Amino acid sequence: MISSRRVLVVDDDPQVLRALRAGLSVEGYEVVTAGNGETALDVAAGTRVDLVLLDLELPGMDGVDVVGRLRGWTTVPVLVLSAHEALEDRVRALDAGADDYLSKPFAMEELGARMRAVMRRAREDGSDGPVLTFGELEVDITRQQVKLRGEQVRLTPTEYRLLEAMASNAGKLLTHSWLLARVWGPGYGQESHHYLRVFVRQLRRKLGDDPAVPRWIGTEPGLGYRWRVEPDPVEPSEVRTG
Amino acid sequence: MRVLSTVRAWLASRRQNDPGGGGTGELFPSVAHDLRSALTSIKAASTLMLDHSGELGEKGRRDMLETIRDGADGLDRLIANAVQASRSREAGLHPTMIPAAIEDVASRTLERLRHTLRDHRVVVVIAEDLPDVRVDVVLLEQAIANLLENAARLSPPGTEIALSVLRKDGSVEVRVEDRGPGMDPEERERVVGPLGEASSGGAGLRIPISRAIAEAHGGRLTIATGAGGGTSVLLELPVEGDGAVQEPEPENAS
Repeated sequence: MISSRRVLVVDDDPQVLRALRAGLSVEGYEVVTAGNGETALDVAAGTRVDLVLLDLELPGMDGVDVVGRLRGWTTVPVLVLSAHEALEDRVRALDAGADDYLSKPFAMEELGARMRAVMRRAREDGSDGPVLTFGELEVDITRQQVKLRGEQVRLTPTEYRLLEAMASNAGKLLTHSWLLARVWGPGYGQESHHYLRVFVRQLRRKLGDDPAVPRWIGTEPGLGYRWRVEPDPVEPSEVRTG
Repeated sequence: MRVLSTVRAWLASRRQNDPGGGGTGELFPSVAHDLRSALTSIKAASTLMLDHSGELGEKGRRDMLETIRDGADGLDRLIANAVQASRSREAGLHPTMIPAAIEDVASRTLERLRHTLRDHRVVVVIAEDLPDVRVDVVLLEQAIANLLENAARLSPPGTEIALSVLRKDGSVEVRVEDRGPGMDPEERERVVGPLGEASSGGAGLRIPISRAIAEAHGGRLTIATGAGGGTSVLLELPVEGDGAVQEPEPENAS
């Protein structure tokens, strides 16, 4: 049951706290709140918390610093919320160890899906079975084999490493730099980011994943990729790639 | 309508006093009008829900709630446009260019606009093997969102909106085409005109901002009549060099 999951919501706007408390309670979460970073760290240290929803623009301690401090002692999933549009802040928060990022304003439906995705990953951490299953797609980690609707998908070693890096971190927003280091090793800078785009395209093609409405490889332009745990809630009515 | 004509008269008088059209004051009434109009629907729908929720019925309540959500989405994009408009006027848009896959930007934009587009049939065509383009992903997403929102507002529910991303010579073309009534040349001229000159009667800041974003990328924005008689807006972005990137070493699939 998800009813016992406790979420720490950190935001200095009482209206936002009120709305999130109401929305998350309806979804069966237990909600604790903090109005600034210092209080958030105290709460997180003093009680069991299953997820932190953290606004980046806080009075006093900066949200990114809160992520860094939390990561000093806990792997609790951190979903960062921000009304600030600059990409650098999002990258900083992700590099500091945040699991995902959501821009304000957001729909509760979208927040719910992201929360489930990062919590699912946290639950499965370290206990991944040998086979990851995503609907019609199966990734066999031990045999390094991928099957789509029961048929084997032939991947190059690099394509496989990329797929495995994403699928075994499902729901988490993986930055371009993190993926490059994980798949190609250290020493690949910004100028190598196009490798990633080339291989994501190849992988999508082999998996039949439509770039316009990706089922598995979701994207945050300028930031990174996110392996999708749940399908997109609504799809455009017709898509052609050609 | 009275508010609108007052705003138009005020704009006209401003333009007479400031033939350059570069005054910072012109933007505000147009934005204020659009903000109020979005707030009007939000306030009307929410007060109806509070006071008459029983009489509205299930369907009515859902309509009101969708009105509130859509109004909020519209306000969010309006604020983003107003921010870029003021930047553009004061210091110019300074895009942070990074190489990006344009299909990723397009797919992200479609996802964010799914509520706005829900009453239309959206057809998406994305070319394979698009070159990487150096863009500001936040600005480009905003430019494409503006074109899609514009198409949704200018064409009747149930009709088709086509988004295509194609490669052409030295550029990538993003085209949004609707099946609405289209625009006459005068109207086209007006909506692509300089910021602040555009009327707030529908197009508002959307097209001028998209144009400013296209130009900040060294590209351009043009409006034509689509094959179906509707409005077709084309955003062209230049590709550096031949767009070819150094391909990774080929590998064999196992």
